[in-house]
Amino acid sequence: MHAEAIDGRSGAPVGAAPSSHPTPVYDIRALEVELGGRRVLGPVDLRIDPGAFLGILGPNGSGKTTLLRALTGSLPPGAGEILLHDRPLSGYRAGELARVVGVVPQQFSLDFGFTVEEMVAMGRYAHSGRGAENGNDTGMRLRGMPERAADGEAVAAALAATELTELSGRLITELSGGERQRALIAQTLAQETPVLLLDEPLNNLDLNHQLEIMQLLVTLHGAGRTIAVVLHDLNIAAQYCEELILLDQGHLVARGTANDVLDPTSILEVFKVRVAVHRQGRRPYITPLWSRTARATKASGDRQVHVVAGGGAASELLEELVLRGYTPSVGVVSVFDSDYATAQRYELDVVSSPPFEPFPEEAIRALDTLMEEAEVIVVAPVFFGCGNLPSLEATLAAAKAGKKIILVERPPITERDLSGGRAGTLIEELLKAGAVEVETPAQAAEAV
Amino acid sequence: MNLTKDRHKVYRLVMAALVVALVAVILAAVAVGAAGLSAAETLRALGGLMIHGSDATGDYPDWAPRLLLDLRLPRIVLALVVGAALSTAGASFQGIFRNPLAEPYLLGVSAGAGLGATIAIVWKPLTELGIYTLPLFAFVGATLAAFLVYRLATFAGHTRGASLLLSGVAVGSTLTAIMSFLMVATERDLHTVVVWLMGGLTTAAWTKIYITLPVVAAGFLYMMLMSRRMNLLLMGEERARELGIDSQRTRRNLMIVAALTTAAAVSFSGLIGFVGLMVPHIMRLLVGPDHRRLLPVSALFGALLLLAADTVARTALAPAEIPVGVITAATGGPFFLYLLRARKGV
Repeated sequence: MHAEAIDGRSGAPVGAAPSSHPTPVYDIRALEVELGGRRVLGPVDLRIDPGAFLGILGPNGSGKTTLLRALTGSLPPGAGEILLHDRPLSGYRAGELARVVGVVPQQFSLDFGFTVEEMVAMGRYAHSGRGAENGNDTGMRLRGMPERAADGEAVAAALAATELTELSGRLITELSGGERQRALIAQTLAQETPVLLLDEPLNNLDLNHQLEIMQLLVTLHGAGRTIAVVLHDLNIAAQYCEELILLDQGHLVARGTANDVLDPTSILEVFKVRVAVHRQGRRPYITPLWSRTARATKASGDRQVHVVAGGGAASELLEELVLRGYTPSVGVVSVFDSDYATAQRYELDVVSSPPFEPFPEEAIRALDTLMEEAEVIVVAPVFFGCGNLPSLEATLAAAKAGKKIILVERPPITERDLSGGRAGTLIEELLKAGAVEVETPAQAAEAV
Repeated sequence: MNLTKDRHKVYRLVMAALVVALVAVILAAVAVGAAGLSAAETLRALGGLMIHGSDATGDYPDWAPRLLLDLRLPRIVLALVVGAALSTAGASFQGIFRNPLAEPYLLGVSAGAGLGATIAIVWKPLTELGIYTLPLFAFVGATLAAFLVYRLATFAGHTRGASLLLSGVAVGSTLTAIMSFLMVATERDLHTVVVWLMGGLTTAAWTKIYITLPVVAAGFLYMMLMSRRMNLLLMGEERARELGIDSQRTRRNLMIVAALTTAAAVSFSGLIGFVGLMVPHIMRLLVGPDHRRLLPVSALFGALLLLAADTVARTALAPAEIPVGVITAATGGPFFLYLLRARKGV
């Protein structure tokens, strides 16, 4: 990235000398927006101060794009008002607004064969021609492209910042999705506005360009621009933005630093996803655990499944089952076992035992209860020794009681029988009692 | 290779080539015809006309200057003006609607002009108003049709290109049906209407040019002033607004101007199809989609193409005439199909 090339230009927000009470760039008061007669946003109150770097988060349909399009003036407020530098947004002429606010929209199409450079140069419209000089934007400049030296510099800097200099002579219609997205960002950069609004600017970008664009925004923010960006990657938002807001069903539910906004409870509430938040300084990192919606919507019925696990042999099987919407019970496993960790991660019912000891009586009783409740019992390819044989014995009892049994037999029992053949015998008896044999965890989950 | 820079050069080259070709076609169009003059005689007469005025005499029949002045020259000028008008209107419609298949003929604008003209022909009391009746009605018809199509395709303040084209075709068919009904209902004017509809420049006269030329010239000037805005509109109304123009108003104004330009051309030449489609498309391939270049080269190429077509129309079966609309449709139809195939249906 060569973001330094566009530093400092139009950097400071208009009339925004640092003070204890800076004039907000945007002052949004009781804003409501309706689409097709339905209220999709608000009421929302929000101030965006000069030099803010605001990340707008929320699930699909939460009103992020609506909020942004209201800020760009594309959607008129149904109620409330939006002030931009203390003036109603609706009072701005299009040309005037385009010199203050630059927008990277979510959707964009251009089916005509402009070159990348020509397209980026269009970002200069509001500045060049008569438009900029006397506020009368007839925009008449018929000859010469790019139009003026200042325009040429802005275009070149925007191309460099998005690493498109090499592609400047290529046709926009022949670019990849990611290259087009960068050309769109470059077009907006060429506008050289003190305020930037971006709606999921990382769409279509591969990882390195995602990070470069975010790094570019950091640099622009450092040069004094005010930035509001809709992101769907919580971690990228946490890592780069100075401040976050969280929207849910058209309402602003949280605002603050990444540490304030990104806590497991509010993320579960809004995104229906259970996450682990790893706090490292002031920028937390989030890993998803499982999705409540996935679990709720899968057609698993209420069929209860029990998994005989141990030694990590069941981890993949448990993932497959959870993915398909089941909530299997697990046991008996030692608390040091990685299957135990997997069961904990998915918050499954698990019968555990202390490590390095035979199963205690109460564990076996608990196992019997779970197996009684279960309709299907899946036996993972566990290594069986004398210690965990009671699990197999309980399974055989359940099989005789008419439960459906599924055995994952790869590797075959002969290779994981550490009980001197007793496990092998039990497996044979299970097969006689009608147990089904499968090869992989996925097949097992399918068979359930 | 840098296409951005190449396009500067290509643009100059294309402009120069078009100017040279245009002069050649004009001279050829002056020289050939059904009157029995040789090419050398007509060119000498043209020279005399230009140097000494219409009273000039020389090595040619004395009626030659009058023939040129009253018949051939107005016809040539009208062909140039109509060709330029249809091409620039086509380029504008394609830009406004973001669709390279948009064209006055396909958008129902020509049908609107046609219905207006038909009413002017069949409704006798109107003909008392003189030669301005027909163009006036064609104007009104074209503009109303354009707005009807625009309104029909606009939902909640947003106008989509595909809807526009579809409603254009629908409105066009309806207007053509009304036109046909009027023609059948008032049989005696059938021939006049049919000849007008097929498109032709046979009745060219300076009086018609005095009406058409100012409208077309003003329209072209306005389009040139709006050419950068038209570029922005190619990215959609919302993006264009984000980059600094009042999209809805710009689009509406451009539509009025393009419809007026179309009507001005169509009212004296009848329905000449496909020029507005073919010319901008070919020129776009050469100079790119930037309207600052596209409009001037389209105007020149359109003028050249229609003059060439009309010269063929009046000489190929001389002394009989082929309506020029037949020639443009015969070449334009296949071209349109080619575009449809090449662009995978758009």
